[in-house]
Amino acid sequence: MAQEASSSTSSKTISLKTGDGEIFEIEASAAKQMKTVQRLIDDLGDDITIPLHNVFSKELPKIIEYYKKDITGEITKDFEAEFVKDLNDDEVKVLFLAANYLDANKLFEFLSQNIADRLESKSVEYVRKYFGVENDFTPEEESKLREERAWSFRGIKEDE
Amino acid sequence: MNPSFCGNASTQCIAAGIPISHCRFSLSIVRSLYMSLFNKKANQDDHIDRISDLPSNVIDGILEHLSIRDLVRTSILSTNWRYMWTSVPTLKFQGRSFLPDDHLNYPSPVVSKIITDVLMLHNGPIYKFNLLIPYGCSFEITLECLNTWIPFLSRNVKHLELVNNGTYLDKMPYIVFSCKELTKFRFGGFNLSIPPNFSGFKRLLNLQLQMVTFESGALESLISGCPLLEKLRIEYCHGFEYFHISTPTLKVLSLVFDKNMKSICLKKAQNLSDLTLMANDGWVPGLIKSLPKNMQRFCCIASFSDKKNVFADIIPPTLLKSSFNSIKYLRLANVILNERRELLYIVSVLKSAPCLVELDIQNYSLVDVAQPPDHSEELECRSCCLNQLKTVNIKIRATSNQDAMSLIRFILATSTSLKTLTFDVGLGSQKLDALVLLSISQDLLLMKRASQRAEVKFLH
Repeated sequence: MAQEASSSTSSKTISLKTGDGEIFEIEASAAKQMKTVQRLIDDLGDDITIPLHNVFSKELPKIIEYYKKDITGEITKDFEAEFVKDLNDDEVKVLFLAANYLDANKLFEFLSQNIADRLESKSVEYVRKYFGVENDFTPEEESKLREERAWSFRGIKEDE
Repeated sequence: MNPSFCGNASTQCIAAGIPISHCRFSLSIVRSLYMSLFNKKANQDDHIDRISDLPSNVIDGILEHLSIRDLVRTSILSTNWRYMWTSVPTLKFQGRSFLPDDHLNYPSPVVSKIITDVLMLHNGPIYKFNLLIPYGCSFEITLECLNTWIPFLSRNVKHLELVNNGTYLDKMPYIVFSCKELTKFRFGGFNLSIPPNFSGFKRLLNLQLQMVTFESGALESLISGCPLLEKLRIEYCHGFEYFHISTPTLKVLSLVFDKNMKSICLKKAQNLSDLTLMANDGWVPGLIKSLPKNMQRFCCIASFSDKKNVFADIIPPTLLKSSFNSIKYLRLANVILNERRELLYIVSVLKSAPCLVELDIQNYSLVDVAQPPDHSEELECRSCCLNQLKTVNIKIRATSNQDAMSLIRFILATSTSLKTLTFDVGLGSQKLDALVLLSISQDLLLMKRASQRAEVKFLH
């Protein structure tokens, strides 16, 4: 669902096209916060629709919402808590990767902290799954490591 | 997209959409990324599979924010991950992750060994190092510990926090002063004396001291060794009675002092615009000799339970005239509003602050000055116009509501741009009965307002 074009006459809007073909509008000042977008604007000009192959219509509106708040200086802890409240761990991961691709530093920092918080005290299996990692330790190697780092293995929560 | 396995890593990064600005080329990670991209079109259904192997800078971003236990535990995820944590440039030994509640009594050698082991395994620069001992923990950061650990840090560390909780240790070892790259330094629970060959922290911007005992002259030497200092916070420290600051770069100062403080002199801090002063256990009259000229934010917090708290005693009228004319935000806490003299003083403060935009007055204090409320003279309004004031918050205990009403009446009558005034009588356990609340609401509604748009909120 395409967002309504911003009607502000004082600031320019840029059109962004997601990898799945949807178009969204964003103010030029918000686009500046996403270095990848700004680089593409510098190369292609600001009158053309900027293609973003690796960002999709599920994530981009959320990112635009964040930077809309950022340019008015309204990002507070409450806003950030609300922003991620209803996202599950995988949805946050997707958003985080999009922020990385767009080189959107502020959102990247915020989401990396949020993911670290979500991973706090999670089991080793959970973290493996989250990062897409296969265990290739032998049982002997693994138990030796666990023994050496015993203090770090205390206090792990059970998976839900 | 047709990734080529020839060509250099940066071309491959551009094709994959990894921002060049922060790539760390770990070959196995980059290769696994290509394997997952190789036969997929950029299409919404497939992209969830694609992210199961994350780009390395994404992993770094998350690792930097993990608590210390989670971070070290990533060594067991797989052989590729075994040493990934060792190059994260942030180590924070703090909070439940470091010493959960049931581990507060870990023997000191065990705690020490954990930190030493981590530092020995670590590889690469450490830019941020925190060691915060939680309250109730028996472990103390000793001289020996710091002499072992600081050499791992001194060359690169920019943010350093070392806080013993509640214990006053021997002197902070001189080795800490060899950390030349520090931009932020916080420490607590130590004795401070400055080494004779101290050449300063030339890049330090932010300094925070809590529960530190200063040897004679130590604080002055420390501050004068920091020519770029912008933010300074000193709380619950001992061993200084005179606080005279002349650092020209200082912008923000927060000082919690005790009743031994004799003199505070700030006029030479020309760029100081944000000032917080808090009395821990009372103050002496005439304490403040001078204030910065261009203050924009000022918070002054009297102590919680000292009957002798009178704001009029510490900020004399001459200071009001010279230092309050740029203030935009003012907060006064533990003001005893039912002292007539203090109420008049607040009015004179408001008259000296023509640029004031936001006002916060609170009284948490338990002091109950038993005086009959003085309704005989309302506060004189005609000569005053607070034409920038937009937001006012007054928060008090239920029992002092009468005097607050005089102040509110004054503010409503003189503030031509007022948007919101919030009056909260809910502090403390004593609640007013419904009739009193009703009468207050009615009075508030009837008060004359200089600003037609003003909204008055009454909370209880």
